[in-house]
This record gives sequence, C-alpha cells and structure tokens, in this order.
Amino acid sequence: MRGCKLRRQGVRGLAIASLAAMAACAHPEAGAGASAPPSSPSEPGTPASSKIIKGDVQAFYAREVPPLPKTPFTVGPVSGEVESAAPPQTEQDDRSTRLTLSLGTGTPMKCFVYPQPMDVGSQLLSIVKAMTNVDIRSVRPTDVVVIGEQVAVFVEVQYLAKTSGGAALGEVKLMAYGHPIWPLLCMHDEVGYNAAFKRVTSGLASSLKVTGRELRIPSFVDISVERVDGHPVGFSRSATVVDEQGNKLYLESSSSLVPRSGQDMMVEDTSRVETDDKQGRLARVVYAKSEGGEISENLTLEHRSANEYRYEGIHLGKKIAGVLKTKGPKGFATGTEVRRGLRKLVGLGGKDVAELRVEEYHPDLDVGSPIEVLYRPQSKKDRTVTMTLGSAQVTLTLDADGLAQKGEMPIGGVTLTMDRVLLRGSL
Amino acid sequence: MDRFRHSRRAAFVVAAAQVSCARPPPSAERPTPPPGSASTAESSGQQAPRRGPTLAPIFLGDTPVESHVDALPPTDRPLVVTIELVRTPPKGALDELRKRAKVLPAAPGSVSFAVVGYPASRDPIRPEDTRPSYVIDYDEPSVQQARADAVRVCGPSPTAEQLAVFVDRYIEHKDMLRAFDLASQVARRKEGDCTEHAVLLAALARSFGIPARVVSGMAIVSVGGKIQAVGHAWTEVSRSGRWQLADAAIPPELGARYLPMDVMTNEGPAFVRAMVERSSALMLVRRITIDPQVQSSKVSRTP
Repeated sequence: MRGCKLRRQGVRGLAIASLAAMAACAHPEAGAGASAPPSSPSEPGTPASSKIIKGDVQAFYAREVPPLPKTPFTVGPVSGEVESAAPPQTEQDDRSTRLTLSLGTGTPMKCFVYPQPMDVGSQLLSIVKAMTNVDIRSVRPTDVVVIGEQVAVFVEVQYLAKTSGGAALGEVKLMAYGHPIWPLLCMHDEVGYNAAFKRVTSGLASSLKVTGRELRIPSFVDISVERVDGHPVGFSRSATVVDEQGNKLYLESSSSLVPRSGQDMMVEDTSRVETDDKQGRLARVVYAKSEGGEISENLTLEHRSANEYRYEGIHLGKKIAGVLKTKGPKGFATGTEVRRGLRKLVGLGGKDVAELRVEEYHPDLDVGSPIEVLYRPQSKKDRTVTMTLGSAQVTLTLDADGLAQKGEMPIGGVTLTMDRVLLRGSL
Repeated sequence: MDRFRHSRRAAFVVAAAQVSCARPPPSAERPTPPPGSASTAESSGQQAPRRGPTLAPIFLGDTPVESHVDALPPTDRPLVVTIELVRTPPKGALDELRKRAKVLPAAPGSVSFAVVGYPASRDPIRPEDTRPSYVIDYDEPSVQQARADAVRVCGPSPTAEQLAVFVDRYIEHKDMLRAFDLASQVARRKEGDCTEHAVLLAALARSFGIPARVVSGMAIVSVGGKIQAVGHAWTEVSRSGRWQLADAAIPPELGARYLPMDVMTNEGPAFVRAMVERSSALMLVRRITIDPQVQSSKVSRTP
C-alpha cells in the first residue's frame, strides 16, 4: 500500500516502553514476546483491481452472505478459526501474519495479526489516509464492540474512483482489534457484506491464539463506549494488573474517531499507566497520546515529595520538563479517595457531603499544573453527580462502588455519552 | 483505572469542541459527487447513496441554523443573529461578543446580536501580541522557513492580507485531522483546518512586526446557497487602533460574518486549559437563527 506504513511504535508502545524499569514484559497485560514492527497491509480502494458492475446501488449495499463454515488455521505460533468459503491463504514473516479470506464474493477479505500492540484509531486512520488514489466521500466509525475484554472498532469508507467507464462507487470496511498479544486489522474492499464482515472478523478475533504468549489477566476491567448523538465514536478501557515486581498498575487506554466533516475524522489514541505508592498516593504516571496518527505527547510524571511532582517528556513536539505542586498537601488524589468521596455525594457511605473537589493531572489540558475537578450531587436516588471541568459539565451515573457507569455531556447541539459495556472484577 | 477516566475523556471532547472549525476554503473541498455511482458501478445520474440509519451531522463544528434570509446581506449591512443556548452561560462566557456586537432583546434562553461588518475590537496591543510564544512560535526553524518562503512570494514587507493568501496556499492539506497544532507544527506539516491556518498566520504576521492574535468563535457563511454557522478560528491583526480580521481559511469573497467569542490570550503550554476555561460560548450554542436587518430603534448598545 503506497504510503501506508503501520506505525512502528504507538502510544501503547511508548507508555509501555517507559515502564521498562518497572515491568519486564512487552505489555503489562502481555507476556514477553516478539516486538518486530508490523507490516503494511495491501492497499484498499483500488478499484482497478475490482470488477466494475452496473446495477442498483441499494441492492449492492444490501448484499450479504450467510454464515460460512469455520475453518481452523495455524500459521507458526498464530492459530484460530475463521468463516471462509475456501481455506484461508496464509503468509507470515516477522512483521505480521496475513490471512486472505474468501467470502465467496468478488473481492477477498484481508486480515493481519501483528506481534505487538497497536493503536486502534491511528491504525484505522493510516489505512484511510493511504487511500490517496480515490475520492473519499464518507468515512465514519460504525461500531465499537467488546471481544474478550478487548475492543474492536469498525469503520466504513465510501469512495469514488475514476474508471475507464466513469466514476465508480466503492466501499472499504475496516476493523481494528486492540488486543495486546494478537492485535488484528481486517479490511474488505467491496460494497455490501457489512454484516458478514463484522461477523467474520469478530469471530476471527475471538478465536485467535498465539502459542507461547499468555495474557496476564487483569483483576479489574471496565470498558465504556463513547457515542455522539448515538453514533459510536470511540472507547475507553481501564484495567488493573500486578507486574512481576508486585506493583499494581492502573492502565487506561482510549481511542476516539470523531467525524468532523464527511471526509475527516479527528483521531486520538491515548495510553496512561499509573502506579500508587505504599501510602496510597499517586506515584507515577506515564502518558502517551497520538493525534492524527502521530505521537503528540509522551510524558512522565513522578512523585518527588509531599505535594510535589516532576514532569518530563514531549508535549506537542516540544521537549518539556518542570515541577508542579498540588494545592493539597498530599498530592494528587487517588482513585480510592475519589470513589469514596463520590459515594458520599450520593449517600452510599459515610457522612453526606455537598461537593467534592479533586486535583487531577490532565497533561492534554495543562502539562504543568493540576486541574481542579468539581463533583456535585445531582440525584441520590439515581446516583447521579455532575462533574465540572472548566466549561464542561458531565453528568455521571455511579454504580454502588462509586465508579461511573454512564456519562453524558451536552456539547452545543449534540450530546456525548459514555456507556459502560463491560465490567469485571473490582478495584 | 476508572477514577478519572470520564474527566479525561470529557477533557478531550471539550478541547475538540473548542477548536471545532469551519472547513477551510470551500474551493479546497473535494468535488461534488458525480451523479450517481454504485458499487464499483458506473455513474448513472443518482446521488451517492447513504445506507443504514441516517447519519445526522455529528460534526462538532456544525450548528443547526434557521435562516430567515435567502442570502447573507453585504457585510456593511446589519445581520441579526440569535443564539439559542444550551444552558445558562457561565459568567463572562459571552463577554467578548457582547463587547463587540450590539445586543438585541431576545427570548429567555437566547441571546441576540446585530452584527455589522467585522466586529473589530479596540483592545490595546499587549507586548505578547508581538512576541513568539509556545503556540505562536515564530522563532522555530519551520516557521522561519515559511517566513523566508513568504518573503520570496510577497516581498520583504507583506501585508496581513498577503500573508493570509500565502498561508492559505502554504497549507497544502486542507483537512480536519488536527485538533490544534502549534505554528511550528503547522509550518512543518502544512496540514490542518481553521485553527492551523490561524496560528500560522499569526506567527508569520508577528514575524514581520505585525501585532497579531488568534480569535475563536463562529462564522456564518453561505455555501452552495445554504447558510451555515460553524465554529471557527481566525487571526486578528492590529491596524489603526483596531483588531481587524485576517482569515487564511475563509477567503473574503465569501462574505462570511464573524461572531468573535474568545481571544486567545494564554499561548503557553496550558493554552488548551485556558480555552476550556474561558471559551465556553461555543459549547453553549444549540441553534442559530439568522434574521434580516431589524429596525434601528430595536438596536441598543451593549452595556
């Protein structure tokens, strides 16, 4: 694919690499393994290779294939099973394992299993950006689904391409699955078969195994899907794991693909790894973010003493370093403190309080100072609180543990919602 | 961990909304879909179809508009703009607009303004409006290179208008993939939307000794016969004691009308925080109504 180079080190990689001194593994949730750079998938949106068909557009979009037999496959250490009209063709090198799958339609589906974590939003965007030979008419995320406690994002791209017979409409369906051990990217360049694409790729993702690499099972997982006016635009995932030194790591990752015009999505991937010290204070934060597929932030915050922290790293392409202090004498609040405070706000424990003010670290907003976030009760019966951060106000619905299970924020004429879709374990 | 996740996600979306933007010059847009087109099928005279549930505009920069005029009047004629608010505005949220435009009576939950021409500000020039900063970093090599290119194209003392055209052409990739880049990033990437155009223009203007700053708010434009209101950012340059419009993203011939809502005064590493804390006005706009000129007796000066 011309210009479609998969990013060699995403924000997950950066955050994880920064943890090298703390954890010996390639990813906090993954066992040790290869870290060869991913390879480039072939170029979608090349209708020259597709058969030109005339006919009713709606009928083309409505095309589907019924469930196909599942065929098991093993390619080196990678194995799984996949729906396919014919045995999948497989290739493998140190950059990826590639599957070419036939649905019995005009164009085969292609899938890539990578040996290292990938950033879901950036990966999808890299494919869209590589479609330089066609006129993209529409690009949008269509679904966000949880498969095995990891998240897959689906994107559809509609394009027009010049052909000898005139303009032709095409469609590329994409799926990126952000598994820490077997990240998967699939694409299908053919109009229609959307349900089949989702079914086949989801089935493949749930069946994958990589011999010799095991997932470190988190003790807690919480995944929310984000939507704008009901349309999926991203997800956030939280998990806790204990590393080989016995440190409890709090992992957060998110991807957002927010359409800003018919042809553009603002894409952001973030990864944040936190550790608390034995006194329960925030000891260290490693934060990385990519915007539009390019690393924009790679920062480390370290606790120094009492309420003093040192931050250092890259911020919007500039080297930056400094010391910040929280107003409170004990430094940034811990998750336990916040949850305890939120429970009090909605009458779930302890003495009722009218509001909770918390100092948080949001390098996106201010790399060098704490941000004060204000929580106020809205309805004890419904366990709702408002969270105010600058001009933004989010209404959160809490669960019995004081964790947010739903968030809702009006932004001008639209509403952003964050809905929990998976919770396992407890903090 | 779930503890601050929602506030972090909210922070991202708020930041995105703050910089939501008009798409750069309509001339740079991709062509209108040719008549029809089907799945890898040849054109047949129909609009490219949309499938499944109707995808309502979820572009953070777009705002529903009810227009009672068929076309925007010339910029020297008043235009009455009524903003239906999402909620009661925080103190100071609409001050910049109130300071510049004439306030009209409006129904509860709305504010109404009459705008004539570009609502220029008479703010004094601050020393910061001429210096390089974290965001308007014209001392960085990539901006200096752009400056050298501008000298080659426009001569040694370009005007703000010349620089606006230069920046429009210099930014090759007109897309909305970037949230809010620093001027040095824009000069290097040559990509972006209105905010990227605004910061690079401000940086170049300052580099030539022209006081400049970045302003955000709304632009009302007529595109393809349809009046639209979009979140927008542009540049202001100081001239004759007034902060005048210099827009590298929307060419003047489009006759856009501007509603300045926030002047970027914090250009340091915490600039996004400052935008979120100060520029709440864009977040408050639920709907815009455009009316023709009102009777002058109804127009009152902002207190």
